[in-house]
Amino acid sequence: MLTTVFEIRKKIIEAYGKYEYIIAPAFKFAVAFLLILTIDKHIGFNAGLTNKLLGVIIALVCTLVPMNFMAAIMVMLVLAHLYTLSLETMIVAAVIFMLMLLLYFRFSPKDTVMLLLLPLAFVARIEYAVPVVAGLLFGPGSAVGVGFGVVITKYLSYVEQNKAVLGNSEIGPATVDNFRNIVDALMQNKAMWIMAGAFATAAIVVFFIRRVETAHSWTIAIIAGNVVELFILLFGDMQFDTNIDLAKVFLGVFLSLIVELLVEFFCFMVDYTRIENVQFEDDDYYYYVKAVPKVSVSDSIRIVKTISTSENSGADFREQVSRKVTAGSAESNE
Amino acid sequence: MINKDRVRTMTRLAIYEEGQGVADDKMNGYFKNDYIVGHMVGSFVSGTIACLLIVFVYCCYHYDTLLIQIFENQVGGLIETALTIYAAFMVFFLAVSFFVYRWKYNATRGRLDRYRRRLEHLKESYEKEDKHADNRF
Repeated sequence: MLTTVFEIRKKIIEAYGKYEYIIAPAFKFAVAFLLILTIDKHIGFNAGLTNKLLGVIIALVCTLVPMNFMAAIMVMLVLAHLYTLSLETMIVAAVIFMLMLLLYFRFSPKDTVMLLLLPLAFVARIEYAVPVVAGLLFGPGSAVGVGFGVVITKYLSYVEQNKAVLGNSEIGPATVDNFRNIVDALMQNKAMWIMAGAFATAAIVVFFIRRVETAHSWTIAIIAGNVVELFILLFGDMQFDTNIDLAKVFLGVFLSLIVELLVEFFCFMVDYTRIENVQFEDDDYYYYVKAVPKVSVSDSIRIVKTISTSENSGADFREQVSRKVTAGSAESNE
Repeated sequence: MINKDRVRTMTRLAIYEEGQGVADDKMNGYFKNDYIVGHMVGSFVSGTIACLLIVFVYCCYHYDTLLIQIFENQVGGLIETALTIYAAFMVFFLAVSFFVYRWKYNATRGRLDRYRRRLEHLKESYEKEDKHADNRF
């Protein structure tokens, strides 16, 4: 059973390597198009920009440009929709995006991918997987990116829920009142800050645990990350009365756990039963090395039996089987 | 016959040269201190713009009380507080920048060293093959 699973994994990785030139742009197109659909559905205030054909064109453009440029396109799209609703919502979002760019993404430009995936993860209810995966695949600095991602996602969610109040097109005293209301809502949203803190802490915890030199460090890190998220969210709920839906949180963590284990399965699969400890020395040092082999499976040999009713069936059958076995062995040796 | 070890080394070299190697090559032209100081200047500009954005939000939020304070010439204390916060923030931000860029520089040096070792390994492989061919003739 386990061997079959590893064979499937190997085949998937081989297929990815073989068709990467198709899969990578297709993945980018899917992410871009799903993001555009999500933006249109939740904050699609500008009717002109919600056109599906335009969405497809923008997604196609996104497949040709680097991830950071794609993030910039999505930010412009969000700001255009918010501007249609009201100037103040757009200004607050622009300030958050600018702060993200100036204070964090300047150090780690590759982490913009989390900014793109976090809103999609929220829609798919696997948001708890993002900090854990970030801790597994990126550095500890990804905690900041994840935290910012939560802030912007929750802000857009706030705008969607209060669009009737915020949609004041007249610029005047009401604009300033709206601006104050938005900033107050953002600063006093304890649930958002607790979630951002939980996600950032989980990313850091996962990063440090997965680097510990112990067997199953990735699995331990995944479990610890989820426990940290749950603990901070529940503690925050008890202390600040954030009214989180426990059933949704547990369901989300469960779904996220599946995603995290899949990431571990594809990115880090080693055989802890075959650890080798070796010791050697050179002129300057003694070396104590622990080598953990990667899980590898060889292709199974398939024997095709041909049953024939002809007179020479026995001889034919033996000849065909021996030919197939030889061919199979030769293939696996290659 | 194809030398599998050499193909593997060359593939790794090519992957590095076309990916991370492009950015690393740019950084290779700097001395460590120049690289760190250059980026810290950038961080100073970024941090200052970020602070100005926060000041902008603060001014929009408290514009009525600020106007009164300006008319009554009572902004001195506020400016002093703002400058203290700005200085404290910049010290923290520049310290973070220093450690991040020093770490980045060291990591890049490590990658470049690995790249150089692979190149040497490849060269040795060709030299060994040439020597072997000379001995045969």
